[in-house]
Amino acid sequence: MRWPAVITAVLDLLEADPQLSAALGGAHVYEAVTGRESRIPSLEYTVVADTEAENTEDVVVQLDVIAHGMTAAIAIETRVRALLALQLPVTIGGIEMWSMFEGGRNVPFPAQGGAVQRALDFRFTPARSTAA
Amino acid sequence: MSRQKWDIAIRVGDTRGLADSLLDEIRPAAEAAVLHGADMLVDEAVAILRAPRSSPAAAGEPPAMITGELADSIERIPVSWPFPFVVESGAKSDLPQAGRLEFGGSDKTGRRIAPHPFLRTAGERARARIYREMERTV
Repeated sequence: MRWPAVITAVLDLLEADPQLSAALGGAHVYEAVTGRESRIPSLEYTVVADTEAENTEDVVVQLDVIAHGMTAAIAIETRVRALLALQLPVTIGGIEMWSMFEGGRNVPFPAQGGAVQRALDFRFTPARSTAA
Repeated sequence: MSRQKWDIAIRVGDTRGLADSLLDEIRPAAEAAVLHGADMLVDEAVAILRAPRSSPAAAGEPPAMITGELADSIERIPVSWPFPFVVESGAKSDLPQAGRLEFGGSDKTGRRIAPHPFLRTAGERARARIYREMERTV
């Protein structure tokens, strides 16, 4: 089971990135929790799926960009994709994996006029853990 | 010069004719395989939505079943050919709340509604079986 380590590695990468922190006004990356008011701007994450294949484990994560206006949202998304939408195997937090962008979509944000939410799916594929 | 143009024209024409003929040959099998894969996806999504689960479900988990309306709404997407060599189908729900459950969102006060993915979960669980079935059929 590698998804906890993968999530930790990815969050560490996002929170340590100066450009992303500048766009977010700090290391504002949180787990999506029902009922909590979202900080704007921020990134929220949800583990959508973790599956095991013969040699690999896939972890699919939804990252929600929440920002004031589409321009700010695009700036954050651009940086996130630069960090995580990669076409080659990479090492993140000491874990070798494929890190790929799967798709994104706009999500309505009815509470505030001008606030924008973009939901981005990323797939992380490390080698399967040999631990029982 | 004229000979070169003639050669090219013949080659293109032959290739296109061969491709069209191949496409006509595989089209029924390809559509059947994709529709079968879509049915497997629908079945998986319905099974996920009908599985016993505590309510409210945790963030990232499929939603707990309350009325069964969402499970009943899952249906196959009609087959289409968006490009000559790409055939598509899938699973969907037309219920207004389906997208908000799958991807999450927020309410009018700005409070978060966490994602409760069920179609993406179904896709992940059924992916390997669908690929195997499509390889076997086509």
